[in-house]
Amino acid sequence: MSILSVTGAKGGVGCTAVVAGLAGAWSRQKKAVLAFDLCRQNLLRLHFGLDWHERDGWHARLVAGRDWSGAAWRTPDGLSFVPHGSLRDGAAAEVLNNPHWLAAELASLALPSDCRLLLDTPQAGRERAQALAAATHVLVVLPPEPLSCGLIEPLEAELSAHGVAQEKLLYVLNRFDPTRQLDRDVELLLREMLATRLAPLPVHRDEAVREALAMQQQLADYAAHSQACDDFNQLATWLSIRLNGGAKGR
Amino acid sequence: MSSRWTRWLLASGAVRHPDDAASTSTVLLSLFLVAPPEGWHAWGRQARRFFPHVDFDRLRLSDALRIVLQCLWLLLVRRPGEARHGLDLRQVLPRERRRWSERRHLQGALRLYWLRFKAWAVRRFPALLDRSRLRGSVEHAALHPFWDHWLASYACYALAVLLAVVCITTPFDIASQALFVVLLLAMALWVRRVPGPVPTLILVVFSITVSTRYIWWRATSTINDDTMANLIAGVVLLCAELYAWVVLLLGFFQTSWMLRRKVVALPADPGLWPSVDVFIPTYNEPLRVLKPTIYAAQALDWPKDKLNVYILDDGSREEVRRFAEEIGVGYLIREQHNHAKAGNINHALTLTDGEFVAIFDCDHIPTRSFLQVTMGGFLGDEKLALVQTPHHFFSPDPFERNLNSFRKVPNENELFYGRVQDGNDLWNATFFCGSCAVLRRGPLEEIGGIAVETVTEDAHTSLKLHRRGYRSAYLNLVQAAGLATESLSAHIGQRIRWARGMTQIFRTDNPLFGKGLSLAQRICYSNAMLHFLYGIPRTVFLTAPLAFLLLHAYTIYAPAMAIVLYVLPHMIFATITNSRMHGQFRRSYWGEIYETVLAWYITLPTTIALLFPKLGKFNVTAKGGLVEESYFDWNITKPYLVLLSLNLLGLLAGGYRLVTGPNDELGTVLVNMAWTGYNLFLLGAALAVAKESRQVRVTHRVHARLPLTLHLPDGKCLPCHSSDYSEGGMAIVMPHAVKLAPDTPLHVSLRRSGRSFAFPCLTVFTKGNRLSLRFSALSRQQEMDLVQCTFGRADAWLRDEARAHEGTPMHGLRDIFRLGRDGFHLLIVQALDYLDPLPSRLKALARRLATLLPRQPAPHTIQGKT
Repeated sequence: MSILSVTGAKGGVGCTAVVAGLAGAWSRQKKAVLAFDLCRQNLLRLHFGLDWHERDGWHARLVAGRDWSGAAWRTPDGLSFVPHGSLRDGAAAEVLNNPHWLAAELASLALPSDCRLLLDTPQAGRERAQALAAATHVLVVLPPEPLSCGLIEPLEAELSAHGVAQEKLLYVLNRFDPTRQLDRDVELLLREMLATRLAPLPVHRDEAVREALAMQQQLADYAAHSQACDDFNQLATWLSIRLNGGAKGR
Repeated sequence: MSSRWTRWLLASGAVRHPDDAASTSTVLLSLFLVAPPEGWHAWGRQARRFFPHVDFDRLRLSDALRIVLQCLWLLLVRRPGEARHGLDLRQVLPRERRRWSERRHLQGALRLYWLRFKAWAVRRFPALLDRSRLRGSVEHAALHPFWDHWLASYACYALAVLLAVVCITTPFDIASQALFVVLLLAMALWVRRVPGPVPTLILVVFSITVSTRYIWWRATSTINDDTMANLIAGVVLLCAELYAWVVLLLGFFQTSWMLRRKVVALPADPGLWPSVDVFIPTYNEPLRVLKPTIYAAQALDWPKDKLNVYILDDGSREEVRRFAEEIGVGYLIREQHNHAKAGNINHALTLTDGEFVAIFDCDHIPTRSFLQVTMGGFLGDEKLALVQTPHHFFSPDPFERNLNSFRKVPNENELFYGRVQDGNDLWNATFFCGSCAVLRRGPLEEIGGIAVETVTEDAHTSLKLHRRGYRSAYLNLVQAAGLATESLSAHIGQRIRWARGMTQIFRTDNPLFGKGLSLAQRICYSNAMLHFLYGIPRTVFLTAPLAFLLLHAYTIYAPAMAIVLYVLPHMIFATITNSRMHGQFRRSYWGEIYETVLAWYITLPTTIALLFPKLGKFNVTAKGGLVEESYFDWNITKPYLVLLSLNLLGLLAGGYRLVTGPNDELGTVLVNMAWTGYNLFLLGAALAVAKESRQVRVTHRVHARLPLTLHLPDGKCLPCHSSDYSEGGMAIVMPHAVKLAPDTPLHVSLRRSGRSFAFPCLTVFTKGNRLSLRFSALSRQQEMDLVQCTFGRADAWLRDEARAHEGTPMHGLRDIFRLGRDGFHLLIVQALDYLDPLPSRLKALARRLATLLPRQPAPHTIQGKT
């Protein structure tokens, strides 16, 4: 079982959309997938068409003192996800004080051995620590901005403090627009810095992603023939190889 | 007439249909002829459909002639059920259709039995008929260590020579020759089934035996010396045949075994790679043609500090100089423009200092991997001075365009680059072809640079290198592609230059003599040069039967049967063997079309070059142009029209001889007429080439399926792939239909080596999920990127290289007849156009006469009307 923590190099780079896209791509490739939302904004559920007013989620249940595992949902096409749940400001479950709580809980789940777990990881907080402690690999979502080059070094320092080894650290460029000179230059720079750790194909900036969310549909249902959907498929395939420890190259 | 009278007639059996009783004439008819059951009137209405050009209600005097002619024609030629002008097969009666399908059915059944029989035979006698087993046993026998012993091999050579002498020189009577030929043919057909190179060599031996036997027979027993004219005609034909025989044998030697050289990897450390100068000589080609080549040359995968690109502009054009300056490539010009391209390169050699020189014609766009692929060999072999790669064309040459054979039939070049150069490579005799090649500077300077003595400086340069003991290599990997010659006249001009140059080398620096060459190299070079002397022999073959048909000269003094039994096997074996060897690169008989078209034009230049090798100057081959209007090149076809009329005359004379000549001459007349007939089809095909089809686009489109992203104006992106591209635009297949107004601004982006490149473009049109784009306002950098993403890709031409074997030579023969027929059709249409200003009365008369001609009967459906 591989557990992939997906985090942004900074906030607002489309990390949640990447989790939803990847989960969709893997489930279409007939792989068992469980997507787990660790962000307090509780937005992953919207990518899977859950109602805005639905407040249920693992954290909400924990705070209410109930068994969290009942909060999972399954989409008609067999994809499972666990929403975070809506919480009042400042409320948090006690168990999160134990940094290995999530790792232990995930290990105790009766999941198929080839199941891929996707953790939508927030920028800070105890949930982040939980995710990084549980993850076998970390996927960092980079925006195509010059900033990204500067963000990598502190990020790697932080992650190694959490015990994530460098070779378990993978990167993907999101919202890439090749018609812009800066995007192309940033990709060139990043590829030089990260070599084979950067996904060979970036995820393009495609209006279809935003429109799908606006329609509360999964990307593949809304625009099966969009470039972004294709990119997520490619990314999923590349990750499948890297998570299995295969091919160092592209 | 009363109804009782009618009833009586019917009852007595005098008439068979009540209608017929109505008039006296039909009653009379019925008395003398068997009346049709439907009645004479109905029969007459039906019969009218066989005379569509006769109006039976208003008969005219000339209709008598029409009816007679039509009756004759119907009796002699009409074939039921055949679809002809305007006759729709669907309208043919079901009964007729069934007859056709029954025949098909019978054919299918026979074929099925034949296949079953074959399968049974292979199962029953696997050692004799199973292909893979046969191949195994043949190759096992050929590679047996037994042959390594000198005694065994020399004994076999001696035996083979003895056998060959017996087979070739023993005179046979007609029956023995027939038996000999049939036995050999049966063996050849059996051997032909077995795959692999060894059976090919066996076929070569058979072919050499039969052809040599033919030549021996021709030389010893068919020369007619009763009159001087006969002797001369006979000897001329014999010489032409001797030439063809020598070229056949040399060709077998040259291409019997391909080396199929592999790419040698470069050392991992780029520090060890040598420096390379890329020379792009140009004279007057437009910058538009030049640009992609330079962009691609700049982007070759090679350390930037070791790669220098130079434009060698003999036209000294300001526009080119500015362009070179802008993109930062070298620009070299010279004061005196002597020795054309060779002089141009030699001048550049004095100004540059790279260890290696790569040369590209200005329209040959290299792929990025060119140097990676070609340079490896140089590092391991000090004596290697030249690596040549094939010339590949992404636009159709005049033959391909005018015969509509582009990408369907291998073109004229493919035999040379697919087989001949690779065969040469086995003997270290690959020669320089002027472009798409890398030369080592040291040896090149040692021989005084590119050779300037002849107009084919390339082949001469490599000859000089070989004389100095340097080696050459051929890599059969398309690593550059360019434009083919644009018009037939330009194409012929280029071939004339090659033919003249090769002949010049043959005279001034004959590879058979002089020092430094191995025997095999001498043979390979000689064949390359002798090959271009086909002008006179080909013309002789096109006119030889006329000597008998028109002048009654016995050029081959032998009974017709003997001629057939010697000539046909000679041709059949040569065809089978060549098809087996080259079927992938040249379709059978197409070589004859190529030669027929060029023969007349290269005859004079090669003869002059043979006599006065110092004459003549270099002419540039025009490229990148456009044939704006379809036209028929009368100028070029003149010699063929002359040959054609002579051959037609010969055919008429043959017909006359058939009727009036003595009985014992019949066979000879028929043989000569068959030969003339074949020549006529060849000439017809040559005429078809002269019809220059219109070229629609200025830039030529390359078919390629490249993945790309389409960026729509609304911010959505679609993953698409291209169906073709050119420097100016692209056709794209989208995942679903998108409607876009013309001139909608868009972007396409392509990926290359981990990077994206985006290009602004405008919609030309959309049709369903197809989108046609033209690039708009590309910057210099974008133009460069575009070339690198398209023409410059390492795998750009991989798909074009793969070719299927032609299978059987029969397709080629069918092509000749088809093309010949098309040629005649074209000629007649053109001639009618040409004769347009005929007096109108003459034309009216012709039209009136034409109405007398028989017609195809109207389809049966008319029956119901009336």
